[in-house]
Amino acid sequence: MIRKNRPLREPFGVFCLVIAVGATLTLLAVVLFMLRESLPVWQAYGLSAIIAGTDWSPLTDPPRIGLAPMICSTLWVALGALVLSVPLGFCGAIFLAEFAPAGLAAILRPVLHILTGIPSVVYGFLGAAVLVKFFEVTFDLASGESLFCASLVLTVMVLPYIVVTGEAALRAVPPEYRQAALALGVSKQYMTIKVLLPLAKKGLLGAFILAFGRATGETMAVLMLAGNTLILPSSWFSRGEPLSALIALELGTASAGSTHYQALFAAGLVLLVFVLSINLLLHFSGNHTGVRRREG
Amino acid sequence: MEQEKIVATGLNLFYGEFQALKNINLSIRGNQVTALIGPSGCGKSTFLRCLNRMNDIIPSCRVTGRITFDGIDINQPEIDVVALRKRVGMVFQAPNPFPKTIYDNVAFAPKLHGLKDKRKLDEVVETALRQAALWDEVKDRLHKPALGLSGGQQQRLCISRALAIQPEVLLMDEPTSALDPISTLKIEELIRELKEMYTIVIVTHNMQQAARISDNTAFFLVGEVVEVGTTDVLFTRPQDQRTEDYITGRFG
Repeated sequence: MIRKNRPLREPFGVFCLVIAVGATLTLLAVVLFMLRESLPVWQAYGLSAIIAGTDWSPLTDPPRIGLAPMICSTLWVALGALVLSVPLGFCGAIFLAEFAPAGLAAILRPVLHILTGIPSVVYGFLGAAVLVKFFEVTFDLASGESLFCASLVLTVMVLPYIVVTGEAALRAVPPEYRQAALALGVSKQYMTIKVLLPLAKKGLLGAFILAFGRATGETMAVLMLAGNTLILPSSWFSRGEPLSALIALELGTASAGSTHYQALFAAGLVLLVFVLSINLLLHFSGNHTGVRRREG
Repeated sequence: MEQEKIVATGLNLFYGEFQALKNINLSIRGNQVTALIGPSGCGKSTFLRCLNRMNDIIPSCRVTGRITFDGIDINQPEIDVVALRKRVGMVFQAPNPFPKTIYDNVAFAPKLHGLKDKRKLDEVVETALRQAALWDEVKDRLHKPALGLSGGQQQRLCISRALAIQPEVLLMDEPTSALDPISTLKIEELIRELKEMYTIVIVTHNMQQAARISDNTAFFLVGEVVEVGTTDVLFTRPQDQRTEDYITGRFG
């Protein structure tokens, strides 16, 4: 009756362990590498000067490497996209999970999945060709790029993630709660708002955080639409250059080992810390699509 | 008060191709307890769920035939299902309180039905909890989570939640099958008291329970009603051999 083979002694178990450790070490190595590459500037300038500094001119003497404009741009673009996409996405999730006729849902669901697979450069290109042109023509601007433009396209990009994750969260609510509510002579709308949404709160929060992570990390579409100026953005409708765009645009021209190069790694580290802390938040906010059946 | 409250005539129900109820003719008398007994899968719970149209949420489900409630056909398309369910409350097999406070569980439906006045709402909650014989046990912790109650208390909370909308009929789907004997006894006492005010239909696997608490019993077998009558007669002098086999424990 007693198993002699503990799971890890089996060859397959060992194989899986090696792969899992390898993946974890790779992630750790990325963080360490970025930390090492950017360490000289952190030491020379200090955390607050880099995070709060508003002047980015890494090629002057002495170089100035304030990241505040880029951090602000990233936050404007990402939070702006969330302001637009979260209400839409949650409504879409509720519609798909509770109200959509089976036939319609069967069409919408695959379409949403396809939307997540469209390369971001295509979104960026469409945004540049359509949205930017629209702003230039309608408001008679010299150039139509803005953080708002980038947010709009990001909204479309993160929307499917919010809908899909949100729907999963709503569907994870055990059916007996629905039955209990409906049997009390409660309308479906009331049941959704008063029973399902509170029960799916954690999963919906997960959808929100996932979308934020994607929006901050997105590079290509944002780079093509945000306007890429290095000044501190004064509003949603200013031009700006998010961290991801800064790195993509400048890393190719920075000579290895220079302050410029190290400062770009510092920017990358800031972005990584953003996304990692969001993921950790997601992790510690509990199981992100499930609802605990019995809390008592 | 003993007239027929609910009458099913020629009721058939299909899940897709499968016919779960076959030509059911059954009357439920007002202010009495009617027990539905029979082996698993015989259709008794399905029949119960017809009475408040809970089968509507199963997509492949199709119903033919008539069920009248106070003379009104509840299967006609013009029926407001939400209004029907306010008059026909339901308690499920496993206790399923919402993960809210005890108070909010009971106040949940009355709030929706327009009761905003805090004092009146308090009254409704107290009355419903008293009716379910739970008030004395929970009056000091109304605003504690309902899921902290024991299983038996949770089930009585579900009963008071159903009573808070002041229904006329209470449907109970094996309400004690997940409970210990003491809790079961309490719920049975409760059912006997509640029939003064409500018409009760209870599905049970426990034949002693049916014999103890019900006035009338219907015996279901593979989607049909084999025999229906007063509980005394059905348990002591069953007319049908299959009923006798079942209640004497020869199958099921």
